[in-house]
Amino acid sequence: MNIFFCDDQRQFIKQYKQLAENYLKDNFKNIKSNVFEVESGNELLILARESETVGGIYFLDIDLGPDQINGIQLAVEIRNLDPYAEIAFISTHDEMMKETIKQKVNTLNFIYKEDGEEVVTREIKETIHAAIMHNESKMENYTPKVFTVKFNGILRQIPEDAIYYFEKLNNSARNKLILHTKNELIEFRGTMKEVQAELPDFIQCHQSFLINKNNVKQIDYRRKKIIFSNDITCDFAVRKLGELRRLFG
Amino acid sequence: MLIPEIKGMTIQLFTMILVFYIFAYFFDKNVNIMKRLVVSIVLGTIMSAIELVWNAARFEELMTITFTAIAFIWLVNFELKQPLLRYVKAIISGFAAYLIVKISVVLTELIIVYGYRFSGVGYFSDKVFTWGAAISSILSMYILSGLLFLLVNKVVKLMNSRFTMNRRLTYLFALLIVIAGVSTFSVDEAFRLTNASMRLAWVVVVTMLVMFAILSFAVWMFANATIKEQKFESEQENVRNLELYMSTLENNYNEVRKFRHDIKNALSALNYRINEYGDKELIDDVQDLLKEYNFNVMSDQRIDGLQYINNPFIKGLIFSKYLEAQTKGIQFDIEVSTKVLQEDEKYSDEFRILGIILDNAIEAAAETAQPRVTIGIENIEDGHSFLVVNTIKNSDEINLEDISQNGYSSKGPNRGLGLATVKEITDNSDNIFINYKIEDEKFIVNLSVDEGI
Repeated sequence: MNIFFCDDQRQFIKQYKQLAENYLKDNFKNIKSNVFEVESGNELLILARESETVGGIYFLDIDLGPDQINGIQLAVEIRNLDPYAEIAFISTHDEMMKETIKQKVNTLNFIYKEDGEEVVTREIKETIHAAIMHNESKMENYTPKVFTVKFNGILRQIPEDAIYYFEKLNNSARNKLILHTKNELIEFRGTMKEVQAELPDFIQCHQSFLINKNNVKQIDYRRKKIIFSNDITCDFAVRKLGELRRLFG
Repeated sequence: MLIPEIKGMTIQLFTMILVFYIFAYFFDKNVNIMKRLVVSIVLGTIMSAIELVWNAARFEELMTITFTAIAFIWLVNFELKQPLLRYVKAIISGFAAYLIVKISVVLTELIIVYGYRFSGVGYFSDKVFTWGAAISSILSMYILSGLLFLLVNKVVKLMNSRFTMNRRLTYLFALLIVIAGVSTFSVDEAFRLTNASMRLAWVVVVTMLVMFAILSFAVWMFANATIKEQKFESEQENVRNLELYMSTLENNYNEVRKFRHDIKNALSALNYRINEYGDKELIDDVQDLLKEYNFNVMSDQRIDGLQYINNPFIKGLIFSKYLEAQTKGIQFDIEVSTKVLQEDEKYSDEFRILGIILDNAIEAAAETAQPRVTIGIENIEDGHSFLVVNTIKNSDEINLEDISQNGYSSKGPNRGLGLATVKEITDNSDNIFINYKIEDEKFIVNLSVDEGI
């Protein structure tokens, strides 16, 4: 496991590195780990690329000095490079764009330098712990299959397993689809044909619905509804009845 | 008209003046009395004079129509900014006048003809003055005018009402159909009873129907234009008020900030002196005070982002929601760090969506232990995006599929309507994409607007 600390102030990263190494040695002896300390974003990207890091833990400062790529841009770059990256920020309270950044790069934590050494130390430890747990759970049901959807100008990778179904809107909006997951609805531009080509295992059960059969909990034949977990449902077409019965009984 | 000779003319003149006066009154109650009276007298006199000079049976009708139209146009003060509207109103007035006069004349004749036939006084003649003819003529004119006033009044009211466009048009067409029906029937009857040529009757009927069609169209155009103008004006008014309000509030806010800054400096100076000379207890008190008010981390930094929202509509909306959240004790952060929006764009869809989402966010956050609402606006590739994050209670119980269905709410039937409206807007939009997410006891809405198309 690779852990990166990026801050333009040398004394901080030295201290963080020491802290992380000690923590890993005490708590996760069996995990092979490298801790890197870098002073600029470009340096970090080069390192991450060369080490072919997957599922690395990245601690970034947002303000990385003048004329330098800032922490947020860096985080976006890291995501492109390492889709399973666990990213946390170590920054100051001045940074008021917390929620916006979180949505953009899906961060693990925000640590504030002003909160004092004690808090920062504790938070770094907790973040590493959470990231390792997170990574382990990801490795267990490791799914390399993802569906890439562009939202807000960012490419998001949704694990195929998380997808319940795709919905095509009947009315006027052209080429607009809705991706339904357990806890999310994402509207994006695309056509059923494109999605179907990308996800051949999905079943078109209705003109407007393309479902992930692996997430179907049961089928209500009387009400012509497909039921996923969380009481999420979608309709199916009568002419698909036979096909559905064959698949789900 | 119907009653010959000077005596009849006089009676008719006064009747006409009164009729016009009342008409004018109904058409616009704000016109000053003298103006109204003068119009009525002038109109009535002109009508009678024309009749007296030409002594023509139908010629005065045309004149009546013309003058009634002019009077309508003059009486109702058209202080409208769009010149088109004035023409539309003029056209409506002209046709309305035509229809009204035509109907009243034909109906008057009809009533008199019937009246004479059934009373057995003898066949009605328009060559000799009789009191019977005069009185019946006057009475029928009053009654008909009365009915027409009500009609006109109703139409005017409809024009100014706050009904929806559809409802307005429905009423209007219902009225017009009634007019068309009555007039067709009465023209037909009048011609039959007076043994005039039926072909002529149909010419009149067809003319009236054409007039009716044009009138309907004109009324429709007028209603449309009025609504547009009203909307435009009220929007302008809103923007003006909003800007005024915003600048006042911003001034206040800056003053409060300056004041905080001054106080902080003063307290620091005081703190220094107390440290030097004061006793232990006093030092502790001052330290506590400084800590409690937390002057270093300015809590109002949260809305610093407001200065980057350069669109008055969006800024006003967000600021009003900020104030609402403040009164409910909800922490409200505005995360905007660059100018993203256009200054003179209306963003009407985004405005509506954002209003609904922020209302819901505030309402939902208010029920949580640490209520928080965050709004962010930022530039994205080919456009801009809005982010609203709020804390929620019982996130497991919220079903994302249901929230945009009509009437859904975890609390009551009304709250879901908002999100159904949002769905309606986004479903029909090619460039607005919405993303709802439930994560870590938070409800996250991301609105992505593609400016590329």
